[in-house]
Amino acid sequence: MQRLLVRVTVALALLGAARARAQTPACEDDDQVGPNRVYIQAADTQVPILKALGKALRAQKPPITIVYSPNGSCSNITYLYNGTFIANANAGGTFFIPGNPDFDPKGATVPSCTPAAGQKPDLAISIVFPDASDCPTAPARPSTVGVTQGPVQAFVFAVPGGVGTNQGSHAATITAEEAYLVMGLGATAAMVAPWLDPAFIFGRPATKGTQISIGANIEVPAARWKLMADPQHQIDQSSAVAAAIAAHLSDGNAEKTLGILGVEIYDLAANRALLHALAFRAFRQLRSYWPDSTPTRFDKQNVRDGHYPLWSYVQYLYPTGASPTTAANANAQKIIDLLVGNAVTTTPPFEPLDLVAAAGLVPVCAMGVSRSAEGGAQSLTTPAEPCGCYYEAQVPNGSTRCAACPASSPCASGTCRRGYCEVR
Amino acid sequence: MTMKTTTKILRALAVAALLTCAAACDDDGDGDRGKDLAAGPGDVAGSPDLAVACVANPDGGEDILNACTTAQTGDPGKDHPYFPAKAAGGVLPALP
Repeated sequence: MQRLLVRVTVALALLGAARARAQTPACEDDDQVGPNRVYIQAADTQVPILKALGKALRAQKPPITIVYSPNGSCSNITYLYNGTFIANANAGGTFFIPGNPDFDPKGATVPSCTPAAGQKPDLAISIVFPDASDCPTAPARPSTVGVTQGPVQAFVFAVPGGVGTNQGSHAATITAEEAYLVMGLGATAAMVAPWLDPAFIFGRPATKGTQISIGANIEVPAARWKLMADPQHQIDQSSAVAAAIAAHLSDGNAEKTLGILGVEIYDLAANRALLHALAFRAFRQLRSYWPDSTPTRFDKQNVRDGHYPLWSYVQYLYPTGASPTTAANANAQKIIDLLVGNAVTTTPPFEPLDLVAAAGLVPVCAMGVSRSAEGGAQSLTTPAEPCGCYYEAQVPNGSTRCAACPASSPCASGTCRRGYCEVR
Repeated sequence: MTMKTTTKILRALAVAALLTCAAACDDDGDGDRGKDLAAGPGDVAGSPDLAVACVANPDGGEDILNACTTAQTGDPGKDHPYFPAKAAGGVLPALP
């Protein structure tokens, strides 16, 4: 009788698994997945913006369907160069943005699909410079692959305890020297209190942009972080890093815990409720700052004016089409244009900058500084068509001191753009 | 002029000299007078932490990091010249 029960149980389990497989549609299925697909190898910190933009694009006429696999920046670059779309099993495979108008980009589970063998990526997203310095194991960029630089993403050191909750870790600042010691020498040898125990230090594999970019700023290359010797503490997905940090909120180990995140992930309400970012003091800097003007805001003021140097550009790579700066897939080009702020007609209309701002990214038109290499020196810059006022007003709980400019009353100085008097 | 008055004047001159330097000197000693150092927004003129100044007219690099700002700053206990024990004076040990 017991054997029979075991056999029945196994049979039911196999049947369930088969059904689950059957329920995962082929990505090429126009009806179950969607038409006009763009296959994206996406840095996993970019998933929130892909969800938000993907929903808007499904509502377009004609619709565009984003199909993505979240992976590390350098892996994404390599896959694109090799012309192979790879589903990241560690991240759950390949996902698509559904056409359901009720799809909640911030909370809903994203459905998955199975890509065809031989599928090629249309677009790869990296959050670091796609060069040999950042991605030393990637092959050289083929002449048939173009790169377009996009918005800015910042990175944070994060500890348990929600913003403003006074729970969890009491740490407020980490200096570049402290980060160098903890991540480069390891927590035990570094002797930087309270981060003394390597069991509570969480990073990423060396191909991940978050670790590459922070590493460039603290002068510890991603592959040389001490946790590279400890696979359990190099976590594949950003969301899992956030969960690993938050898991120590109330277990008595909050003070010891330290991890790294992209700000797109950190800024999610669910994460800010359980974690807080540390202010960072760079080498040769006198004081420490958060990415935002205060820990509770979302204005990225210190990223935009250069007080917070843990940031890099999102980079879009693609097989080129008619020109070296145009993607072969026209829908992929449209996605790039929307994300970098190029003029695009949207039907129904929406403001792409709103999506970028809401996702925790900073459009280049809102930046007052620039840089040309990972962790490199910052230079002052004024965008050709600034959008800093609009950006400040659009971020969550945002406000701006810029003058509003309805069409009937021109600006006393500067230029009226998107309803605000920008500096030019 | 009493001794007490002289001491007061000398103290005032010392504070004025410090403030003048904070407002006009370059913190890296390279003689670049194009950058103006000022007491930070949170500082009271003449307060003892004049070493933690800010750059009023940044033109690049480190000046940008240390430009004057109204933004909230982090743990003051980790302001310059704080360094962790293994990086005394900001000198880092080699990576293993």
